Amino acid sequence: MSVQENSGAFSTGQVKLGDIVDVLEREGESLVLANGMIHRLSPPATLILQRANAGWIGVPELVVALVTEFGDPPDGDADALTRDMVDALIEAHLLKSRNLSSST
Amino acid sequence: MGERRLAVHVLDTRIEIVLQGRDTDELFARAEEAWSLALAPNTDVDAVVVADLLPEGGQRHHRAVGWEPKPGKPWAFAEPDAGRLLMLLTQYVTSAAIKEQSGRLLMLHAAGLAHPQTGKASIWVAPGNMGKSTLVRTLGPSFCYLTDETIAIRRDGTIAPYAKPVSTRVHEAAGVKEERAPGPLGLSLADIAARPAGLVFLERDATHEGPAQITELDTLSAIEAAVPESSAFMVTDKPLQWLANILESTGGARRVRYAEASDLLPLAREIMGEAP
Repeated sequence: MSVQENSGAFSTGQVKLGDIVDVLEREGESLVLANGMIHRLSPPATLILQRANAGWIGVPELVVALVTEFGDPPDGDADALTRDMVDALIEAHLLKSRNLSSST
Repeated sequence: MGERRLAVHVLDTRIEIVLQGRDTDELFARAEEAWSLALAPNTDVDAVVVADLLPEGGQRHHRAVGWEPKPGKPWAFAEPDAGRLLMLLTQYVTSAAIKEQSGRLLMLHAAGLAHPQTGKASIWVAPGNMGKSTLVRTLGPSFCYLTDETIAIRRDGTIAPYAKPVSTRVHEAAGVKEERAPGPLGLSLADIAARPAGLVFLERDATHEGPAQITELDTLSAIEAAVPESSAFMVTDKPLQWLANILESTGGARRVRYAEASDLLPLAREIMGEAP
């Protein structure tokens, strides 16, 4: 298996916390300072960062964590919504990603 | 042609001001009066600002916004108009002090007043030309003067004063400000260390009628609003948590919509207490 780290759009694989300078959480929401910018994150996005803080984690595990905490989303499927949030967090440099692929 | 020197202590930084060019004695007198609440000995200076008053019609030489001198070199500029030179001098002193204190102090673009006996300070955050100096001139004589430009909070929770001249816009179209000595405006320094007691975001609206309209801000919203009005925030250690601690230990932040600075007196008294 080869591992390729990148900071681009995330398709499959795992994510972990990016180079975060400071985080402030209040009532589920958070402010995150990274890459010279401040980001305000919703409770679901905050939960993703919390889980990614422990090390590499895959999207399926994040989906389970989000559904457990917030329930199924009223519209759209949890998997797609989670991937959208993860992509946005990667784009903002709040998460790092790596794709895992099998080598022959 | 000559050279005169004075030093000021602002934002915990000692800055030597070197006045060069023409009319230096007159320029020195004006600068000394304008900076009268911040004067300090010319020893152990942290930074130097060189202001060169050029002959009338001379080619002014200003640095671009964001420019910084190389380490050990002075901040320097040249200008043919004395009034404009004094205005620019304030800006260069501010830049030099902020540069020296980057990462050490939590600095916000704000006016500050303090109760003369308790040191409880009100912090009034606003961009430039949005009412800070007017507020200081209006409410300041009832309290003590900290700054009309930059509030700097130390790690121990006290405020490092910046008793600069009070900037007053005199030529609206040209954006020229007159640097007025705080003393004759009725402003004086506090004898005790000031500590934040309340932070307010100013929203001046000349069409607003009635008493000042106050809106409470939660911590995250207040920090979001404060960051654009901060200096060196990103290079400060754990700035989000530092500012959150300040806000939450002082009852949080408010946004106030008002027409006249005098409308803010009740809020100033609520934050600092009634002045004697």
